[in-house]
Amino acid sequence: MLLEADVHAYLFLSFSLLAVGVYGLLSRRSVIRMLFAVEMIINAANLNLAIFSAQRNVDGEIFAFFTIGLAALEAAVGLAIVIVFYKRFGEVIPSKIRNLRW
Amino acid sequence: MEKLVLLTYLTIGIFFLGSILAFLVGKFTQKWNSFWVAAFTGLAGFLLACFIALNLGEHPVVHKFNWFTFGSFKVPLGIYVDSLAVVMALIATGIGFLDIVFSKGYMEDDESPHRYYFEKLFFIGSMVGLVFVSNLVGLYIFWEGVGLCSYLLIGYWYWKKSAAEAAFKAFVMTRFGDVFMLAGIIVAWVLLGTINFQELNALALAGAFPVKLGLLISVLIFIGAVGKSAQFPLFPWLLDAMEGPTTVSALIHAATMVNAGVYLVARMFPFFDYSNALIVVAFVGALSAFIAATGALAHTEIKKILAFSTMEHLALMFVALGVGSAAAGIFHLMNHAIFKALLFLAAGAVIHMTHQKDAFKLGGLYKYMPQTALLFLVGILALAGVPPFNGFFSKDWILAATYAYGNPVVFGLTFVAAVLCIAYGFRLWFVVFTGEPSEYSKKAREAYPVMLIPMYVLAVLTIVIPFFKEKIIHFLFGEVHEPFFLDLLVATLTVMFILFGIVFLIYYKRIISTAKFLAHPLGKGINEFLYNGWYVDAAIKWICRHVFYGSIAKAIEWVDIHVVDGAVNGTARLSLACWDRCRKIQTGDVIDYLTYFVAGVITLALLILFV
Repeated sequence: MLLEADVHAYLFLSFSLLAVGVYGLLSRRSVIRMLFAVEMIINAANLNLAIFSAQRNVDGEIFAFFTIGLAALEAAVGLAIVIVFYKRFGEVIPSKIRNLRW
Repeated sequence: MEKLVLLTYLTIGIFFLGSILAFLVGKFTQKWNSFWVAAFTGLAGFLLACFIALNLGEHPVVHKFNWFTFGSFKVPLGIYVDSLAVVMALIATGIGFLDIVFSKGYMEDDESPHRYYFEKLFFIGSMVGLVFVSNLVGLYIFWEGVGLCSYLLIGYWYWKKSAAEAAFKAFVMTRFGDVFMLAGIIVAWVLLGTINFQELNALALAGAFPVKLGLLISVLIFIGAVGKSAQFPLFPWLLDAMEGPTTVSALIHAATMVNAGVYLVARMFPFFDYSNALIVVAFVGALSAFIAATGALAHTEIKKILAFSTMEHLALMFVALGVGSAAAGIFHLMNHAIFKALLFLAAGAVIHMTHQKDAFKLGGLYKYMPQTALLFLVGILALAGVPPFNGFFSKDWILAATYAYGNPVVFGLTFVAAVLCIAYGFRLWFVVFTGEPSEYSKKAREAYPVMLIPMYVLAVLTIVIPFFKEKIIHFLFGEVHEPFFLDLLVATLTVMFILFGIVFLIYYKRIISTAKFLAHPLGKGINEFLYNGWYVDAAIKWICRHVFYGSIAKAIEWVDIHVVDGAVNGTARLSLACWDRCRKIQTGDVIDYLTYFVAGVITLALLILFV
């Protein structure tokens, strides 16, 4: 069992991870780096699951495993999209591509 | 009693079934087979009506049922057959049958007799339904039914522009009256709680509602009757309706449909009486009679002279009802139906054989069509009210009743109109049948037997009816006091004789010429004024164009463009403006969208945490 103070510390770590991830997602220009940031956000969520699971039962940890698997898939699909994106537009900077606009 | 109820429904139903059957038979087998179906249906309907008439006892045949129920709102329907209704049904089916037979000859060149007989039978069915139903809603349904058939049959030769326009005019003008009638029905239903004729009359006899309310309802319903029976000011459609086949004019626009208005007033007679509406009826009738009689005197087309004459006689019936003598009105309705059908059929024979509608382009036809000429003469004598014929008895009665009523204006106009019958009647007969034959007359030959037989039947009826006058009146109204004034009778006959003499000298002996009178600008003006029906048609057009179209329609158009369209376009413009501003946030940059997303999530999180 984790102590209450430890939980707070872990949660703070998790929140920091999330904040860094969101900052990275919004500030990086390259798609690859944005994918890194997404991984960090997912791992922040995983950390939360693990922390709370340690206090009660293993449900959260099982869920965390699933999330890890899902993150791997997401990375695979994301990279595939990046490759297609590069082939199509010749670069990986989304801000330069504004085809989604009206 | 139960049997008579069934037979009444059968009488109405047989015509509608027959109409469909006639159409299908004509469509899928020989076209003229539809005639046999129609003739059989007409005869069967007439025999059924006769049977009902003979078995009608002291009590009327009554049957009621609910047509449909909507929540607590019930629409009743039913039949009420008394002697008045059955006499109307006999006229409709009897003349209808004769007319169907006559049409075999008259419509011989027609391409689509099955359509013709379909519409004709549908009309007779509607007319029989109209006189048999027991309440105003049922009457309104059949009222529109006969109006529809009138429209279809006026425009029977729809490829002729004039016929199509005449049909349209008849439809719109009668519908104009019907709108008021519908309003009257609604007012009666809402404020008096009933639409059944007998209940309305009972309420009136008991004095159960204010006279002013009754007057409002009566006048609204009477406007509908004015439209249907072609009275002032809604009569020009009847003249244009002569564009249709002459058989149609004979049945619908002389003998039956146009009587519907008179029938309605007679049916609601106690109601009108209690509401003081009869004076309105009398004045409208007297004015219409005068306009029509003078118009008939000036017109030159055979059918339009007869149309004016129809309008005049309908007006005389209204006068009779208006002065309180329903018996005289209904008796005249019956006589008029017979002799006017005869006149129209004879005119139809003339037009069919000469292909010429203008009386003044004919002449000397007596030599070529002697039987038709004599039958036409019988019709004219009955129309003019010459003693042995049926027209004399009812018209004299109407004049006596009007005289006894004592209003000088009503009596004066009615008297002039009534005596003018002989003038325009014989003018027409002399012009068409005597004098030098024209090129059109020379091509003519005597009408076929199939056309002559119905005319003979009607001609015999004009002579036979007076013998049964007392019985008919007793059957219809029980004991009726008939006013009689010897001085009036002598005066009427004297004036008629003088008028006949004048017409005889002008149009038969041709000693007096009207050319000088017509050459004078004043005479020409008077002639055109009368010829055009006192320019009522033009006045209606002017009112439609300048009052209805010029102001009301324009105002509504303005509201439509600026308010209704404005609201619609305003909504579009507003959303366009919003979109123009909102679209700027859609940059197409994924990072921006992410930023909005994150901002949204943070906002939500803050809201959940602190609110």
